[in-house]
Amino acid sequence: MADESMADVAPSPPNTLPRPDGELEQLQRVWKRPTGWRALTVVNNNHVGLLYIGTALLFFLLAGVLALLMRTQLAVPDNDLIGHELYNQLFTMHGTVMMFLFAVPAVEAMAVLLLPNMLGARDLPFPRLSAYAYWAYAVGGLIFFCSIFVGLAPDGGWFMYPPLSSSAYSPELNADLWLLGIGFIEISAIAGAIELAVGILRTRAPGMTLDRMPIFAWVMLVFSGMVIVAFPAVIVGTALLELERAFGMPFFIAQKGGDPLLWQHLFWFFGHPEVYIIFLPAAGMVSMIIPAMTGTSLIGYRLVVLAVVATGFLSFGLWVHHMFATGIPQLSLSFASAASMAVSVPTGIQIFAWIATIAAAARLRPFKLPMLFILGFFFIFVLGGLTGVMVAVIPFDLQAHDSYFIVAHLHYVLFGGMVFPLFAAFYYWAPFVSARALSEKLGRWAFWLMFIGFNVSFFPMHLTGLAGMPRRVYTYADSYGWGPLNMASTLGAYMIAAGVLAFLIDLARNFRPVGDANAGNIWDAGTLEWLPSRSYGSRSIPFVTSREPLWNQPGLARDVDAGRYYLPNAPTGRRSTLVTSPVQARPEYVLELPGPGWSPLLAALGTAGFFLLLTFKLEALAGACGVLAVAMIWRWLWDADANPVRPPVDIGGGLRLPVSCGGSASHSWWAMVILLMVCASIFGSLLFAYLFLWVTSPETWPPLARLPSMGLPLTSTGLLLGTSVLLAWLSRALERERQVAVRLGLPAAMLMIAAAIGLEAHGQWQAGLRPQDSGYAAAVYALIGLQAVFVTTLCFMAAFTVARSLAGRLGPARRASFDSTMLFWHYTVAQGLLGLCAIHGFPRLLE
Amino acid sequence: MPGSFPRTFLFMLSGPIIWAVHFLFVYTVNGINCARPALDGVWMGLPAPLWIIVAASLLALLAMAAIFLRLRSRMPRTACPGFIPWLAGALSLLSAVAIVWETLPVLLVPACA
Repeated sequence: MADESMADVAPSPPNTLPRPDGELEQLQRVWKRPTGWRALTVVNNNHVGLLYIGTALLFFLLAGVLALLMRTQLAVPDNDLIGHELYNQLFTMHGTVMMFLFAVPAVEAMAVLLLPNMLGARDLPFPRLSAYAYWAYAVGGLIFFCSIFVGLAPDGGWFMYPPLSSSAYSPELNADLWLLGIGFIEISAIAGAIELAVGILRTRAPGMTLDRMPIFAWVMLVFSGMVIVAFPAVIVGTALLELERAFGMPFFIAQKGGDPLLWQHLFWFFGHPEVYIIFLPAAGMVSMIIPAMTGTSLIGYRLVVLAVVATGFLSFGLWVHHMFATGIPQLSLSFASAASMAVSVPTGIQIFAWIATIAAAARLRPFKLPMLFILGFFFIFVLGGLTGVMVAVIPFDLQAHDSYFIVAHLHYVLFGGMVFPLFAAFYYWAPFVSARALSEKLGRWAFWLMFIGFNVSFFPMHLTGLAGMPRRVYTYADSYGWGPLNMASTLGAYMIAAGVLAFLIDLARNFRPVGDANAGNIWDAGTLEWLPSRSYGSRSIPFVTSREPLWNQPGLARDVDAGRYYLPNAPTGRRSTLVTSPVQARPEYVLELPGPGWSPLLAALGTAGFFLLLTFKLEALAGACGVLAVAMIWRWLWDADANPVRPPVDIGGGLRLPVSCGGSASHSWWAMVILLMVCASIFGSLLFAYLFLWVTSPETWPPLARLPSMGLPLTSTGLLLGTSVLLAWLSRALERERQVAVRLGLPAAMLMIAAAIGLEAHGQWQAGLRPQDSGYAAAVYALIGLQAVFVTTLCFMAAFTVARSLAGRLGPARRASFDSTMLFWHYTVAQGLLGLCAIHGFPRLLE
Repeated sequence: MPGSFPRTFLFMLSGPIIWAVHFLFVYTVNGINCARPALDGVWMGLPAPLWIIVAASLLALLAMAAIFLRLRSRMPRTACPGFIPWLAGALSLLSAVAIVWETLPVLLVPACA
C-alpha cells in the first residue's frame, strides 16, 4: 500500500535513468501484436477497440443505405419503387441497426480504445471479455443484418410492439430474428459495461483521484451503470415475447390475462435511458475535445460531473413519456412529464459549461475540424432539445404522436447529439491511432455536407409532421401536399451521404493505424491518452497531480516515455497493469493480464451460432454451438488465477506490490458484484412483470384453494438456506486447505439447490397450472424458469471449481473461482427466496 | 469491495437513489389507485393516494437532508477537499427539485382521467 500522502503530494519520478538493458525489449515482446491468422486472437484494447469502431462504422453505413432507400421511396408521392413489406423491414432494420449495432457499440468501442490510455492503464482488466464482446457483436450483427437480403428481416418497428410482433400477426421468423439476435447482442453490451466499470474504478494511474478523472471516464462510469440497470429490462422483454411466440405463454395477450403494455413498459424502461446511454458518452467526448481546442480547462468540471450523474438517474424517470398516448392515467403521465422537464436541467448545465469554456478560450481560431463538428452538434442538438421539451408536454405530444415531427425530433437529438460528436471524436483522436492525421480540407467538405444536408433533410420533417404525415408509411397521396417537403428531405439525405463519403475518402487516404507509430499530440491536449504510446500503452505509468497532467506537469511525457515512472517493465514476464484504490487511486497490486488466445473468438462464434440457429429451429446445431461456447469459456477461465503465488514485485521507486489479490479487494470480486447488479435488474424486471399483470388482470389470479400447499415451498426455502450455510462453511474449509470438503460439498450443494427449484416447478404442475393457461401462469413459470437458468449456471460454476480443486489450481491464496461461485450462489439463494415469497406470499396476502 | 467505497458511493448517490425509489413508489401508488378504485379511501375530502404521494415526497426530501447532514463530514478526502460532499449535496438538491416538480401535478391534474 502506498504512502498516505500520495493523493496530495506529487513525487518526483521514482525511477532513475538509464533503465536496465533489455527492459524495453521485454515490454515490447510481451505486448507484441499477433500476426497472420493469429491476428484474430488479439485481445489488447488498442486493437480490439479499433476493430470495434470499424465494425460500428460499417453498421452506420449499412443502416444509412437503408435510410437512403426509404428516402428515395418517399421522394415523390405514390411511388412504387419499394413495396410496403420491404419498406416495413427497411425502417425496422434502420432503427434497430442504428440503435443496437451502431450507436451503443460505437461509444463502447471508443471507450475500449481510449479509456485505458486516458486512465494511464496498459489495458482493460478483462481483455478477453472485450474480445468476446466484440466478436459476438460483430458476427451476430452481420448475420442479423443479412436477414434483409432473404426477406427475413424483422418488420415490426425497432420497438417491436406486441400484438403486432406476436405470433398472430407476425407468424414468420422475422420477429424471432430480432428477439434472439438483438437479445444476445445486449449481452455483449453488458459484458463491455462490466469491464469498463471495473476498469474505471480500479485501474487509474496513481494520484488520479475521483475528482481528477477525465470527464469521459465519468460518463463511461455512468454509462456502465445505466447499461447494467436498463439493458436487463429489454432482455427480459425479449425473452418473454420469445417465450410467448415459441411456447404460447401469453404475457402480452389481453384475452388470456396478459397485457401488450407490459412490453412497452419493459421496452421503454430500457429504451429511454438508451437515448442517454448514447448521448452521455458523446457529451463526454465533447467535454474532452473542447478543452484541447480552446487551450482552457473545462469550466465547471464539478457541475459537469453533477450533470452527468444526475442525467444518468433522471433519464430512468422518462420511460413513460413514450407512452403518453396509451391510456395511462393522467397523473402517472404527469410524473414522467415533470421528470422530462427535470432532465433538461443537467443537460443545460453541460451546454452552458461548454459555452463558458469556449468563451474563456486561450486559442480557438481558426476553427479546427473537431471544433467545427462540435459547433454543428451545439446547433442541432439544442434544437432537438427544444422540440424534446415540446413533446414532453402531454397535450402537444398527443397531437404530434407517431407523426414525422417525432422523426425529426429524434434525429435532431440522436444524429445531432451523438453522430456529430462522434465525427468530432474521429477527427480529434485519429492522430492517437494513425500515423497521419485526417485531412482538414476533406474534413470540411464532410462537415458542411453533413451539417447542411442534415438540416435540409430533417428540418422540413417538423413541418411534414405538423401537416399530418404519419411515421412508417411507405407512400402518400399527392393530394396531401407533402411532396415538396419530402423531396427536400430526400435531397438532404443524399447530401448527408455525400458528406459521409467525403469522410470515407479521407479515411482511405490518410488513416494509417499501422505498427506502433502515431501522429501524436498534434492538438496540444492535456490528458494522458496523448502521452507517447505503443501497443503496451505508455512506457511507464505516471503519477497524476491534476486533471490535465500534460499541461501541468512539465516534462511528464518525456519522463514517462523514458521509463521514469511506475511499472516501466513486465516484472512477472507477462502483460500487467496497476490496480489502484477506487476513490483515491492509491496503488494496491499488480494485475497480470492474459495475452492473445483463440478462446474468446470461438466462444463468441459459439454464442452467436447458438442464438441464431435457435431462431431457425435448428436445435441440434444450436446445441453444438452452445457446447462450443461453454467449452471455450471454460478453457479461457481455466488459465485465470492459475499461477503459483509470487512474491511482491518492485514497480519503481522502491514501491513493492503483490502480484495478485484475493477476496473483496480483487478485480474479479468487483466484476462479480457488478454482474449481480445485472442479475438483480433482470429479476426486478421479471418481478415487475408478475405484479403488473396482477394490476391489469386480477381475474387470472387463482383463488387460495388452487395454490400449491405451503409444504413444498417451505421445503425449498430450507434447501436454499441450507446451501448458503454449506457454502459459507466450505469457504472456511478452503481457507484451511481442506480440498476434500470442497470436492464433496459443492456437488452436494448443487443437488440441494437443483432439488429446491425442481420441487417448486413440480408443486405448480401438480396444482394443475400450465404455462399457457394465463398471464399469471406464464409469469409464475417465467420466475421459476429464471431461477432454473441461475441454478444451471451455478452448477457449471461449481463443477468448474471442483475441477480446479482436482487439478491443484485452487487453494487459500488462489480462490477466485470459489469466491465468484460463492457470491453468485448467495445471490441465487436470495433471489430464490424472494421468488418464493412472490409466488406463494403475494396471492395469500391479497386474500 | 473493501473499506469505505460502497458507503462513499451510496452517500454520493443518495439523492438520486431516493429520487428513483420515490418515483417508482408514487407511480405504483397512482397506478394501483386507478386500477383498484375499491382500495381508495378519502381523507379531509381528498383521495388517500394523493395524501400518500405528498407524504412520500416530504419523507424523501427529509431523508435526503438527513443523510447529507449526517454523513458529509465522514467522507474520504480527494485531491479537492469537499468534492464528494459537494457532489452529494448538489445531486440531492437536483433530485429534490425533480421530486417537487413531480409532486406538483398532484395538485393540478386529475389522478385517473
